[in-house]
Amino acid sequence: MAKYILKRILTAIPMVLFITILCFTLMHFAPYDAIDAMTNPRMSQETINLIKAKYGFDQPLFIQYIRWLDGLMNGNYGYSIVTKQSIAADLSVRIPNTIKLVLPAYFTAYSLAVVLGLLAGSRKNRATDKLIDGFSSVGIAVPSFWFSMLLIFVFGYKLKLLPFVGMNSVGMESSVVDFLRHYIMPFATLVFTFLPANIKFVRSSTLTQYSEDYVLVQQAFGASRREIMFKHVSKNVLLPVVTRLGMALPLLVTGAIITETVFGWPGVGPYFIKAIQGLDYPIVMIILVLSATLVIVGNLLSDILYCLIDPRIREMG
Amino acid sequence: MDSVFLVLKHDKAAVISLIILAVVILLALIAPLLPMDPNATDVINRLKSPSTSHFFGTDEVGRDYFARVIYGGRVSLLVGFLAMLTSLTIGVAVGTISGFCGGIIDTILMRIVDILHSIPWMILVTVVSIFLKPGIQSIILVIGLFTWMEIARLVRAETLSLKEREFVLYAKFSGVRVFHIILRHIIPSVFPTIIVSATTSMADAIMTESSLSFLGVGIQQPMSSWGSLLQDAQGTMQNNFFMALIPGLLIIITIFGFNKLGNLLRVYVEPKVMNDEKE
Amino acid sequence: MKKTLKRSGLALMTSLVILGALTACGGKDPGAGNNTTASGAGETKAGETTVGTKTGGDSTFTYAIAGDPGANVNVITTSDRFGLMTIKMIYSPLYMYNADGINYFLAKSIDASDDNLTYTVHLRDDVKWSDGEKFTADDVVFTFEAMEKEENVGWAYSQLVYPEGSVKVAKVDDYTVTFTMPVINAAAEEMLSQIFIMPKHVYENVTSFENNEVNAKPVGTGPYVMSEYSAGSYVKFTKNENYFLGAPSIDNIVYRIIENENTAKTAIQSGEVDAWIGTPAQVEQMDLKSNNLTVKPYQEGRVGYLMMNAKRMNDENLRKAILYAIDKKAIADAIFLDEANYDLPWSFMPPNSEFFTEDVEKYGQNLEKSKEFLAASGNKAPELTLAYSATDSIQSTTAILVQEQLQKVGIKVNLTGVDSTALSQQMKKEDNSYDMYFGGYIMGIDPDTFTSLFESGNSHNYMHYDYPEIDELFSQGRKETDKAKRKVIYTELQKKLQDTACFYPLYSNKRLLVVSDKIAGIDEAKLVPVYTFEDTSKLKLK
Repeated sequence: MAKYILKRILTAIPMVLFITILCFTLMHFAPYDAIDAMTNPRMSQETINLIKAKYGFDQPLFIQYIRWLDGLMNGNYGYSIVTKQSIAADLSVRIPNTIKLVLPAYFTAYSLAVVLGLLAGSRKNRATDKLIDGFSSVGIAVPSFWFSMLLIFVFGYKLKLLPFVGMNSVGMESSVVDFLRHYIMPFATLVFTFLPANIKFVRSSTLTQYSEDYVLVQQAFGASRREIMFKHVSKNVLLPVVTRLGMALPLLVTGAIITETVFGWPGVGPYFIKAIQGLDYPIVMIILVLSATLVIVGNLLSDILYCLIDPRIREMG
Repeated sequence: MDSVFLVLKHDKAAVISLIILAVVILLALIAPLLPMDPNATDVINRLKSPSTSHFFGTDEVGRDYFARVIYGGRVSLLVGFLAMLTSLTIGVAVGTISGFCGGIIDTILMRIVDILHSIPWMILVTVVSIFLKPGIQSIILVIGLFTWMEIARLVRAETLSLKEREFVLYAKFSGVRVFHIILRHIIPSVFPTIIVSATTSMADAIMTESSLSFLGVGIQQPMSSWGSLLQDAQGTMQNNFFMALIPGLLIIITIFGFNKLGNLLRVYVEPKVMNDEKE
Repeated sequence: MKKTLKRSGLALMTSLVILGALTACGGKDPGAGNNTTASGAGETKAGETTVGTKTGGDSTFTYAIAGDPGANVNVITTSDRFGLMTIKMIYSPLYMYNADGINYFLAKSIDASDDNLTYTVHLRDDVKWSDGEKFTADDVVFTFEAMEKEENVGWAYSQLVYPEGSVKVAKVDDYTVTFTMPVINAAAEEMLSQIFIMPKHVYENVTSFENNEVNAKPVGTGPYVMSEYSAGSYVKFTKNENYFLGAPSIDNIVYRIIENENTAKTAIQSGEVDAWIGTPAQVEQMDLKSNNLTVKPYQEGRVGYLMMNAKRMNDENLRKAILYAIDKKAIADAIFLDEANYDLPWSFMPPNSEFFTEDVEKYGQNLEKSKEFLAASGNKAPELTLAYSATDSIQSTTAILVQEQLQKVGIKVNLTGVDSTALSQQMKKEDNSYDMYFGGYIMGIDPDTFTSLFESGNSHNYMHYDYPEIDELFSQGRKETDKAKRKVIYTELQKKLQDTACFYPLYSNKRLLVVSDKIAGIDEAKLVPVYTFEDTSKLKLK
């Protein structure tokens, strides 16, 4: 098994490296670069050359890439071209804000999905199933931004119950109640966004399990529905469900781009969109590298988890 | 075919959504023939309520909202359709070549699929879109170029099993060129899978386009799409909520419709699914 | 001079590193949280006073602003609106020069020598910096000298340094400074105004004003002290008890950064913010009465313009074809709804200026002429790119209308909505990828304050044209002291500039300040261009 895990890790590394090369190349060919950000039209060519030399932009491309990569490893993500601020510093404020929103929402959606999916799968084609499956079919088709607009209209404009701007009211930064009031709508939107696909996934694994022979055998032995469900089916359904969690890792950074933008939540989303609109390549590329790395690490974790839980794979090692 | 009707009989929502979808597609197709201009401004009649002259009222600069919604649908559907074609073409090409040729080609292509797959679609699409000139062509290209990975995997898996079938082996044996085998034998055999993927792909492309346009990095003015109409509606929804309601509902119905269509086609091409579905 | 090129966010620099980096790495400085906390004014705790009527503690006035001033606000390089608004809170100028005359702050008086070359400024002797140090003439000399150094890229450089030489600043005694002009400059008094004074003892060893550690902890002489800055969220100011014009009434003022206009519109209605600048179309949609809001319109002499990049659009006929196709009145009506909300400018000077002339080529809409010029340009079906700020609804509506109007003569326009800060940076480069762009400026009263925008090759000339005759006229006007003769020169200049067809003034709109009824003293605080309030210390809570 250790061998298998090691092999998986070794295949992941070149992929991450390739993505960094890709991003670096894209950034290099972008029309505006970091030098533009540090110089101004009144500077003489000598001064500009000095600055170039200072930051290593006079070196061959290969060396520049190594330096950039080295910076990435050491938490030096470079500077925004537009605002000239440290990207690492900005992200260190924004990523926690995104996590605060995404993590609880994802867990809520996930737990709900497991319950509803199992329920629907075990009551195939009965009213409960139809309701749950119908909900997820429609839910998948609902754009998250439209759902949040609906919430804003009802709870923000009409009922005037909830604020929908940002994370706190000014001056109430330490108030938990105020934070929670701001939290409800984006949270609800995200739960609603994550829910349908996950229900579909759990439901279809449940259906597959119910069609397995062992269920028939159990039924033949006169096991109750309840027993079959909790003793056997749920265990086997939860296995792929748990391992799916790893794949949700990248959501911690990019899982709420649209929702955050609609609600002005000070997370990665608005930061990223602003960078796109401002052609702020360094920020865009860092987020690209970051999210891609998280996907690869997430898949890796998924595989490792699966391999730890499922003994059948263990033997493959 | 009977099985499809059987399913439809039990799924009223699917029937309704497919009918509305058909109407929307029809309207989008014949839009240029209708006597309306989605871009003509009329500032005196701005933000008018729905009336007989303006079915959905007018927007902030007095443009007929009904026309904008119809033309918006045209853009959304066109982007969805062309992006789907692009992604299907690449996906099928990569999938069949990878599956049929195997070896180093397969490894390289599948690595590329892995890498592209590892970047969240939204990030990928937005990033590439800033390197292209903004406009509808770029959006189609960008969505098409980065959503073919799933199709490629599916097609590759099917090709792998087809490769061992007698008719393919025979063709290979008798010296038919690889290109011909893929075109004559493999692709027709994976066609059902392709058709089913096409509907899902179309639904995904429409959703992607709407999200991009909603975020302001998609369709540019004066063109509208359902996503960009929703973006504009943010400003006026406090008093004119129906302007946010209509494009949203249309997106939902369209995507729901295409997903249902996919299910139906699946039933049609793989009748065994139907038994499973019905029971 | 108020040289706000609207949202031309110049500065915002890297010293923000302190801001997040510390939190990122676990913090070497135990005091640094998510926000930098200014150390100044530590003696006067805001909590001790309860002037406001807000129940339970400090009174706070929250003002929604549409852009982030950034962490590197400094008096030398900052020239964008929100940065200047921040500066106005924490620093003071010698005096403000507005349309209605001089309003003294750090200076008590200014007098000119008989030859009109030397100006003597007498300073107040009772001013202290927020860290307790005394304010003296050294600070004034230090600030002006820093502004005159080319490498500092100060915003007022072009009004202190001329081809003939730079303005000489000299300390006479601790509270007297003299400014000696290289040549007679009719607008000298205005040229020295609106420059905020920074503390020498704080900035002495700073090499880059745009990028240093002290910007995050400003020490000033203004009515408020910056107490917190949270990137992208808000800037919080606490009152300066020792403000030389009397302690402010409101304890805290917060600039809440809300870039999305719709979000901001909602925030003012829900009471989350107390003041906000709206467009007529937005205000029209709001229920002012039930939300206890009042609208205060004021004219700030801002000129919203369409500029063409002469490097890309080098055919004068094509440029004229475009201008003749535009109907600016229709655009202004569509956006500002009522004629009371706007003035139509016809030259680069705002209509409320005494040098403004209508005797120029106005390019009134004339589709026939437009088509003629288009034919003359030889370019039958031009396709042009127009860039505008994506978050600005006035600009995006203008863009839609211009696009439609140009379509009628067969000119295809592709619209590109860009982030506003990024746009103003890109405009500065002559090889930018746009043919046309929108922008706006609020300059001074005197035409000479417009040099940096319209002189060939000057730092803010986004048209990137080369017209020596325009430069020559600017130079002549500057030296001429006779008002009537100046008027002739500047009339000629406005004509010439219109003839280039690179610059097209669109509208000079009133700003609509939507403000909560609980805020009083707005008339005393005075609504002024750029900064909104001339003196925030006069604002009160009801």
